[in-house]
Amino acid sequence: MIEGQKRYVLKNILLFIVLIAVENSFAQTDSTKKIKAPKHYFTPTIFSDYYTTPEKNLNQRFRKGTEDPAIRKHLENYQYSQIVGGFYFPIITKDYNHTDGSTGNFHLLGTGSYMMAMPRFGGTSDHNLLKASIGVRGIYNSGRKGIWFVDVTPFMSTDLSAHSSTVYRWASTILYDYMANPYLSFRFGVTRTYLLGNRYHLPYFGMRFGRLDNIYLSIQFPRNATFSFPMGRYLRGSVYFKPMGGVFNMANNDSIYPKSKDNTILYGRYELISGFRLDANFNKHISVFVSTGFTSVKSLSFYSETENKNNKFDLSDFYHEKISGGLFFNIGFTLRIGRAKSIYNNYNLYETFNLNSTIDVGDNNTNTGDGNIPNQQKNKTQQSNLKIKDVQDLIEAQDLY
Amino acid sequence: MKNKRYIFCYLFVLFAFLKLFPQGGNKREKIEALRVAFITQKLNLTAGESQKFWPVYNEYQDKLRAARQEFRKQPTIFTSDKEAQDFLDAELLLKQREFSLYKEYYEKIKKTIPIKKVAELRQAEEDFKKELLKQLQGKSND
Repeated sequence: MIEGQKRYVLKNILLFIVLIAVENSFAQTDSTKKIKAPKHYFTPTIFSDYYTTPEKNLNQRFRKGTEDPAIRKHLENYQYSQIVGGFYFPIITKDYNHTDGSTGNFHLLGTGSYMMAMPRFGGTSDHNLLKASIGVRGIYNSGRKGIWFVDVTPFMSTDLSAHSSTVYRWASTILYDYMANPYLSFRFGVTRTYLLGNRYHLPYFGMRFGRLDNIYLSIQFPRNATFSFPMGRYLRGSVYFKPMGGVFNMANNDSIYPKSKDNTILYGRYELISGFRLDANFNKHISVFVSTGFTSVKSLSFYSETENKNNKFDLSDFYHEKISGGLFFNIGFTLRIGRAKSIYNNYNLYETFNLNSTIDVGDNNTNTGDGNIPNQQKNKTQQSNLKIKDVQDLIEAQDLY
Repeated sequence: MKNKRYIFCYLFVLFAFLKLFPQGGNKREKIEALRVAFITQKLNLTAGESQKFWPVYNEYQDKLRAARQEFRKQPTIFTSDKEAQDFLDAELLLKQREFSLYKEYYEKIKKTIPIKKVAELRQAEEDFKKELLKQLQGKSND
């Protein structure tokens, strides 16, 4: 894909996001428009996060068979950061009132994401590696014990900084969530992911103990393990472990792979991060988070594109080095635009939202957080600075006399 | 160096969003959440009842709120008889909508929780309003 086309794709993604935001803001301000109860439980949502690690010298350990001091000398040192952005929006929401009184619902969401991986080497030019996706996900919440989740994310990967080939791949997940009660849930399924390397087909297994609006421990293989706890009404802290990584097309303009005249090589990275994250959910529209911790089991690989043409799964690398661990810093925000149907105390929908945030849009293993799940409230009605307009939907004129 | 530039750009965008959107939380949302906690405790709902009751009750409240918000768009200062008549028609329409929603959703709620709890729900809603009114009155006396 030539440079102009890449810009065109990016501009269109941004334009699409802006259009959703503008449409929704007008929908709320138009005084002539009839006010209707919201149609969807999910609101159009935009999210972004930035992740960075400090610079490391490349004097670590090679994997046997990939020793190449000349390439190491050429690269000099290594630093990695990435920007992830994305959105999802509801296309269809359908409620089902069952005869036993329970309410199920189906949600079809459109999704899109971009990820700019920015590996920096002292001895080469800067590379900005784009991974962009457009996909759909469907969630069926039975309203009883089970939730079905299907996600399909086709994506493309290319180097924006220099001429390289573009590759098209797809990631997907299908799983069944069994929520025994608000304190306990299990998830089973399969996932096709690029987080741990090239095209892994892995079983998905997850379990959660504790309520989503209170303290809980959630282990979701291969996504994350999280211990999360509320800190007052607006804050939520969590301690977590999760893998991060991927395989990206990278221009070979610096001749990192000197053995052939390939204009593209594949850059692979993998790391396991463990850290603390603080989510601030200011209101139902905006959440921000900061996170820091340690990154370990970190590696850097390069693969030849031509030599791996016929390798569908395991790619053979010509360079693989283990990088020593270090600190990382991660910051992000989530914007939810417009109004949504109320979900207070609806644990099936809390589980649905958590499912949607755990399996992120774009297969980057970022997490938008669960800002739309309110922390559990204690029963105390004492309010400070209460005004009539705060309660006018709850009381009628005759209540006042 | 470039890394720092990215961080500054990112923080700038983040703070711009924080300025654009209201901070400190929406008080009405908070009161809604407290009402839910109040009702849950008063009705002593089991996990099974809760699972069926809240989706229906939330939907009822969403529709009721939308009807009331729409009515509040009516002008309250009338420059002509027609405007006054429109206001009265809108108020009548609101009452009719409230009643039809009440009828429709209490039928649905009856399928989710025992009839005794449906009756207690009405009382729990009233008790919560009284709590709020007490605080409003206390404030006006100050």
